[in-house]
Amino acid sequence: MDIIISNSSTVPIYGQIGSQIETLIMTGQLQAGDRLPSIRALANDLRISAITTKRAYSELESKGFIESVPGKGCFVAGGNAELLREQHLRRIESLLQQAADEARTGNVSNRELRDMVDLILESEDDG
Amino acid sequence: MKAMVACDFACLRGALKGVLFSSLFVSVVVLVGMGSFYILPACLTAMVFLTLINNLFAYDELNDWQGLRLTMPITRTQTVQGRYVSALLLVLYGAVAGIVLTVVLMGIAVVVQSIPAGSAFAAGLLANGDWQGIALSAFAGIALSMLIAAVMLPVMLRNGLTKGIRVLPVMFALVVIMLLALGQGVMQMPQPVGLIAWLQTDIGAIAAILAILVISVVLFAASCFIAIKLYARREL
Amino acid sequence: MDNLLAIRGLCKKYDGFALYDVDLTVPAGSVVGFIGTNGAGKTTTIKSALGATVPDGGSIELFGQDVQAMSESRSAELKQHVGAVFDACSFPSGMNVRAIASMMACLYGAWDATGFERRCAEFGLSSDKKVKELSRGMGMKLMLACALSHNASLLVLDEATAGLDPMARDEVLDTLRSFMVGECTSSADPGASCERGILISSHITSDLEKIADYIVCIDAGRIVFAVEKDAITETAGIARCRADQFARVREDATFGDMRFMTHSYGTDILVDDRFAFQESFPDITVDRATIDEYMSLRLKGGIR
Repeated sequence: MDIIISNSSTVPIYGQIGSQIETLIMTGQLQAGDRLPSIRALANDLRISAITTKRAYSELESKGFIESVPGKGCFVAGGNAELLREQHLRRIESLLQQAADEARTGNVSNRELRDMVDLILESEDDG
Repeated sequence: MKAMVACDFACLRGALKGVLFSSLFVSVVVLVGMGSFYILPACLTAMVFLTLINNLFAYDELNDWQGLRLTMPITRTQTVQGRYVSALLLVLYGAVAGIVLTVVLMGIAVVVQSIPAGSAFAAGLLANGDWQGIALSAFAGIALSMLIAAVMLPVMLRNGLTKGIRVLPVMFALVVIMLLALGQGVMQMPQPVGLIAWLQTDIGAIAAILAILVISVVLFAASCFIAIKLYARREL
Repeated sequence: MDNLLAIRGLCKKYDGFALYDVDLTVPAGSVVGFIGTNGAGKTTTIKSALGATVPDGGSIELFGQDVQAMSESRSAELKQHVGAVFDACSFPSGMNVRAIASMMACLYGAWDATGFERRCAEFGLSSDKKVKELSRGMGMKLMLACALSHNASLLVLDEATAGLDPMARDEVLDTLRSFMVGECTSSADPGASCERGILISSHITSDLEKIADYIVCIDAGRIVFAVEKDAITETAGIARCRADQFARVREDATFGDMRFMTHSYGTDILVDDRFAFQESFPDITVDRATIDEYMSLRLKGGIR
């Protein structure tokens, strides 16, 4: 499991870990039922505090990506990855709908809206 | 406690042999000065014991070994008890060393006696050297060392070597003064002639030796209880 | 078990120095870094925790049990699960490694002789070496090997890495990391397993930045701050201001009291949330904080 942490990123480290593990799960590199390294082992390997890894795992757990079994460790949640992706897509749809409604009331044209989306995505890629 | 004693002796391994050589040198000086073998065992016992016990207290302070020891699963009581057991073993080692060295020197004296130059001197020395006297001297050495230990160990355990070594002469002076006063008092009392005559017999002498040893052991044990109380509150 | 070590309200008076109301906790599964200037009270606190000194006030709980309320032999039993490492090799100078190993075997029920030998081989310590023949770094490694070889739950290091070169320090940190990963049997409940913890007092804050989860700072006998290490190295920041920028920041009330220090080249301000600060003041340079700078500003900075 490759996780790269950047000290110069504006995203907090626990967020970086969380999103990278999410990606690994979504792309299938981590399968349902796979065991994740313990909080302490991950902290050791990445040379960071265990509180950070704990926070990352807590967030992943609250989002439903992983489950922690007391005494055994943390595992990739079974079968939910698909459902969660569905959830994400639905949420993005509703947010985009909101943006479209705002654009209409604010007299912003479709083209302008699309340009804005492109701009945001571009800056995301840079950041 | 066993670990404490084992550790004490592991520290002293080199010194146990080294002290024999230095004692040998001092013994020759004492022997020539006093002209008698009787004093040798007592003197050697006390000297060997004092040298080695001081080594142990020096190790305690060096690099804060005593501080590290307290982080280990050994109680303060066991530390004190272990040190007392080590002290007792060192006294016995001193007595054995004293007897052995005396015998060695007597052997040398016998050899010297056959040389014309030293013959008279050696003969004079050997005249004061029957085995009863040597044995008595060794026991006296044991009793004396235990009494010294009874005063010294609580002081050292409470204060450590550096501070204790300053307090010690004062304590010894006090004890000596008390003993002298006691002696004065005893002299002033009517002499029990029968008792003195009895003491000069073999049985009487042995009884006296045993009595002195028992008193020393009792004082030694009492001193251990006091030391445990003192060490319990010590800041390290 | 929640806390391996919990010191609350510790008070201890000496001539010319006193510990006052010191709180220090080592939660199970965490590494606590203990910092402070020389003479601030780090060693005194640690010694009180380990029973070398008798406190004047406060409570000390080791593995959840009040150390002052228990018998001597019970507290000695608890020490079976504690390993201590000091800055100088404290073993008697006349003993050799083998003799120390046999002494440890007598003292500790869970002494792991093969593990100790393995660690000695890793560190390059031969059995015949006497303590006085060891260099400072090797002496410390010997103490560390001993502390790691009896299944301890809590490791206490007092300035242990002070005499080591940077590569040796990294090795020690790796050893500490693998210590943390292992599990041990709990002292309170032999059937359960518990996580381990380390209390490490050090001047070498770069080591703490690499391994600590919490940072506790003591100054003149009082605890100045006790925070998550990430709060210092991740969230907090140092804003480097020119005079006019500093004036602007002073007027802004949203960030509350902030510590600052003025140098000849500008003013450094300690900010608790560098992201929020950078958003409000995009033109001001904000760097991540190091433990050293954070401590320096907290202890010596003026308050805006």
